[in-house]
Amino acid sequence: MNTLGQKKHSIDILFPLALVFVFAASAFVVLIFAANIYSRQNNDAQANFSSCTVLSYINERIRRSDANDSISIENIDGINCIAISDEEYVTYIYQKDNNLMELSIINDIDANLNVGDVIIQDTDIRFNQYDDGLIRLEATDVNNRIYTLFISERSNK
Amino acid sequence: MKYTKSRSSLFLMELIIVILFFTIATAICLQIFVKSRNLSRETSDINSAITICVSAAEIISNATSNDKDPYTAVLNAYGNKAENNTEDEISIGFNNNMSSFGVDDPEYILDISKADSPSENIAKYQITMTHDSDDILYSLELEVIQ
Repeated sequence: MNTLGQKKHSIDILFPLALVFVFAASAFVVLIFAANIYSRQNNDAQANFSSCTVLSYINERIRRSDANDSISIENIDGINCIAISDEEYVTYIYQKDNNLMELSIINDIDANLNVGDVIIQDTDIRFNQYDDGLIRLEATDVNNRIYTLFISERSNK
Repeated sequence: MKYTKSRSSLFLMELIIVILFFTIATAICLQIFVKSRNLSRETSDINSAITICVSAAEIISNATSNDKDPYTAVLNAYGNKAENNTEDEISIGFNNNMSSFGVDDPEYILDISKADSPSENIAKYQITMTHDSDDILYSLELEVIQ
């Protein structure tokens, strides 16, 4: 038997160990990178949801009921509300405690904004009557990106 | 002796294959991460572009029905600072996340131009949001009764 071939060197253990360590470190770096990207994606999706969904919802809500001058902006207890009225009911859409809320009541009753239904949570939206027949909505997402949408009232012409 | 040499070359080959596999896997992963990030950013940009173009269309529609000048109304809504302002076309600059308008050295440009209208009492506008002057993010045509 040749004993030379069976002689052990410390590098025989150190090299694979070093290699394993390099692999492990690289895998860890890729994992951290992936987690970071996933977190940003999630943040962007949340930001899109919190701003665009709110704007789309209000836009559709106004479009659906835009007849006979039924859309107006009212200030109730210091809160700007979009009021959508028909023959019997009036619906208020407003923001309270970072939630988009909606309250439907019979025309002659005073509105209590504390009892509205939460439509979308964690939103930051402001609205005002920008011009005659033009409503301005401004939503700020979690990345502080501001989306401004103007809605022209079709019935106010 | 021969046996040892063959074993070490086998070990080396094994290492090379493993390193190659790991490198390819890492490269593919990084490429996918970057692509997904770019896609996400593009989605946000297109969302903003749609919101701005639709808003401009609504302002023009409102101004026309109230007998106001549509371009002046759009300029009033977007900071009164145009990159380009002629009788038939206006351009408004936006910053890198489309939150601020009328900025110096804009990254996004909102172009509104008059197009050939199909009849005398209808005005036709082309509203376009571009990135870096040539990449069209979103574009819409608007027809309003004068």
